[in-house]
Parts: sequence; structure tokens; C-alpha cells
Amino acid sequence: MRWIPFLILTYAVVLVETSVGWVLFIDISSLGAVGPDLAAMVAVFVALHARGAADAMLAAWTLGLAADLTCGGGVGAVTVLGPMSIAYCLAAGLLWRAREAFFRERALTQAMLAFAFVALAHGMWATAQAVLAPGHVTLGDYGRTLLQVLAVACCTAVLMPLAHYVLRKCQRVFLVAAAGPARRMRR
Amino acid sequence: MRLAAFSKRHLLAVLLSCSLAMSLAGSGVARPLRQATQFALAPLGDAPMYAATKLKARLSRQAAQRSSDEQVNQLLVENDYLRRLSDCWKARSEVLEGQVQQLENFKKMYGPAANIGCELIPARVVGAGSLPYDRARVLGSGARQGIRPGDVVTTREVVTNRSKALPPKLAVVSEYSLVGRIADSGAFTARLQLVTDRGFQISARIRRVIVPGRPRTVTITDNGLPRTTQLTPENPGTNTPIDDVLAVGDGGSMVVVPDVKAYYNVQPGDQLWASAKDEYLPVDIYIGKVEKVEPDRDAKDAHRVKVFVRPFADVADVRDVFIVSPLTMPAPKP
Repeated sequence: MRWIPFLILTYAVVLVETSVGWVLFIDISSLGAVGPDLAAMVAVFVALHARGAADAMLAAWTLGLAADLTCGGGVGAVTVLGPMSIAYCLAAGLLWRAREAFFRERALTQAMLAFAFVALAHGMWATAQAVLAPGHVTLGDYGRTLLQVLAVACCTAVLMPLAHYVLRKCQRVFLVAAAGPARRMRR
Repeated sequence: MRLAAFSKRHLLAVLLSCSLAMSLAGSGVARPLRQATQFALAPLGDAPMYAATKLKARLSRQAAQRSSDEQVNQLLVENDYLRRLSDCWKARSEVLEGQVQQLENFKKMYGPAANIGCELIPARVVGAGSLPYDRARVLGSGARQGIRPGDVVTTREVVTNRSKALPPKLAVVSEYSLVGRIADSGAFTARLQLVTDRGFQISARIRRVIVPGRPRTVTITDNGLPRTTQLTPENPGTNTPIDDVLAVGDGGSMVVVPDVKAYYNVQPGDQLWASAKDEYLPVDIYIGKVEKVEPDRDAKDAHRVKVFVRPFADVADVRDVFIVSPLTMPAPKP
């Protein structure tokens, strides 16, 4: 990983997510606002292409912390800091281990993995906030948030192939190429 | 190589431990860190937020349905009726005259207004939450300008005695409408909780709108005894506002008023106002119009209804706001 460019990318993603990104949010009366999680897309991309599990998990932790810092409300009113970074980190670790079982370049695979990543990470986040956040959370609120999580995962999955394509074009800026046969041959 | 991998794993373990500690420490640790993040994002967030607001407003305008001729006629009749009713009230009620005077004073936007006892602090929306679970907005004003948690936010009003040029979009705004509350505030930034946010609540009152030709039967209390009466435009004196209701955000795009007595006969079209009884509001401020009324299944009493209100301002698209800061802050509640 090239960490300085990656941190700049994280800042840019969070900036886009907190300003322009909410244009993509759709209000559904039964669920609330639903939209893609751009930080999760980057985390999924890094988990799919990073050289090591530690790199993927550190990058996901950074993105999760950024999401935590910019999402002050939700389940249990004012949310606590930390669960999203842990959730991203663990989800990225799992994804990194499982990636060899998939054809990473297929759009459908990317969408499925993004769905799984967001559903897992956000589900863990929502559960942690329901337990740790100071506000009172009813079972109904929690259930509704989980449905919202699934809807957010769907939105993220739909846009993941596009994000993968864009990130693939500029991956050399923040990602060191994975060691593989082509690299060995050059040596 | 081994050392590097070893170090990264250690670093990861330390960072995860930090995350765990922050999670268990609660929101006290989160607040200063989030304020610092807002401080870092605010300078670059203004321009993209401007573009996003414009785009969203344009999309929502295109999506809106055009009114039919029948609706236009109905609105004209309603406007005519409201104009007459307004004249009637102006003539009859000294209390309302006082409120109109107070609202006039709101137009002196900059600087403290002595009659109202509050100051309007201009602020601009420069960011939103990164995830859709919170709909709070980050404002470009902060503690150094006197914003305190709990201050109330209204949409911008256009006045003619301003030396500063105003954007064209704001020129059509002619009503006051509550947008939300300051949930949190730091240096130069503040977090605005919108009226539709889950967790938002404010003391409010419902004003029934009586349309000509459609009288409404309600129960009022007369000398301590309940009495059924018919509300018509001819006897507006009996149409007293329904006080002491609690308006809460539904987490979507509506404001909900739960636990309203069914015999008040609240109907779609009635208005919800934030009550001046709220310690941070000097006068009643309009929130929105009642869209639907349903039986309140959560209430203990079966004769209670839940009122759903569509906010007057599209709170999701709001950009320029004023923060109502009382000159004398209410004493903190024990």
C-alpha cells in the first residue's frame, strides 16, 4: 500500500460522501434514507487487490474510522466511535481470505462481495450501536435499521462494478501491484 | 519483510484496541473527534454541497407533479378564505397583532432584536452525514459565534433592507419554517439535527384550517366541561389551537405528532407550528402541513391518533439557515 495517497483518497471519498454523495440517497418511507456506501466500495476494492491481509485490514480500518467520524447519528441517537472501524477491518480480513475463491474481475462477483461486505460491516455496526449508544433503542428501531442496512448493501452492490472499474484505472497511485507470475517473470 | 509484516500486525492490533476502547468510552470521546473532522471537511465541503443542493432541488422540482385546474381553483378559494380570515384575526385579536409585530421584527435579521429577545446567526450547510442512518447536517458557523446545543434553526427569510446581495433562489421564500436544531457545535462548525431526524422532538401546537362549506365537529372544554361544537369560518373564536403536543421526527421525510386526542378532529391540511413554549423559541414557527392522520396503535388510550406532517421546507435541500439564539439563555434544567 502507498499510504499517503491512500489517506488522500480516503479524505476525498469522505468529502464526496458527505457532500455530493447524498444526492444518491433515496427516501423510502418504510426504511428511511437509502444510498451507497462509497467508503465500503474502496474497502472492498482494496481487500480484493491488496498484497497482504494486514494491508487490507489497515486500509479498511482507516476507511471505517472515517465513516465513524462522519456519521454522528443513527441507531441510538448519538453514536459511539469505533464500531465501524472494527467492523470494516474484520469484514475486509474475511474478504481477503475468501477472495481466492472468486473471479475478482467479474462484475457480478464484485457486486456480491460488496453486498456481503456492507451487510456484514453495517450489520455489526448497527448491532454495536444498539448496544453501546446512549439512546434507547427499541426492537422495532433495530429491525428497521437492519432492513436499511440490507437496502444500503443493495445500493452499494449495484454501484460496485462501476467503482471497481474507476479504482482499477487509478490503483497504481495507492496500491502496490500484487506479487504474481507476471512480476516474477520480470525479475 | 518479516519485520514489516510483524509490525503491521502489531499496529493493527493497537488500532483495533483503540477502536474498542473508543466504543466502550461512549459518545464523550466521539464528540471532540467528530468536531475536529468537521473542521477538516468544512472548507472543501462548501462547493460540492452547493452543487449537490442545486442538483437535488432541480431533480425534486422535475419530479413534482403539476397541479390540476381543480387544485388550483381550490387553492385560490383557500387563499381568498385565508386572506379574509387573516383580516378578521388582525382586527379581533390583540394577541395576534403582537405576534405579527414580533414576526416583523424577525426581518431585522442581523443584530439582536430587543422585542423578541433573540439574535439570528446566519449559517450555511456545508456537509451531511456520510451514511444515510443520520440526516444531520454540518453548518459553517460555530461556538465562537455563540451557537450552543439546543439552539433552533429556521430557514432564511428574504428582506429588502439588506445591503448584501442574496441568491435568487431565496427571493421566493416568504414564510418562516422550522428546519431543525443544533445538536452539537464546535469552532466554526455546528451539527444541525433536522426536524425529520429520528430523535428530534419539540413542543408544538396544531392549528386547524376550516375550509368554507366544510364545517368540522370537535370537542372543546367549556368551563371545565367537554362540549361538542361545530367549527365554521363564521365562528373562528372557538377554533383554538391544540396546544402541548409533541412533534418528533420519523427518521424519513415526515414529522410525527403521536398521542393526539381523536376528538380534536385533526385533518389533512391542518398546520403544525413549533410552540413558543419551547424555551429556545420566541414565537410560534411554522413546521408544516398535516398529510395524514392514523389511529395511534402505540397509545394506551384507543381514542388517540397519530398525525403525520410534511415539513414546509424541504429540509433535505436546505442550505442557508439562521440560528435563533436567545439573548437570555434559559436556565439549565436539573
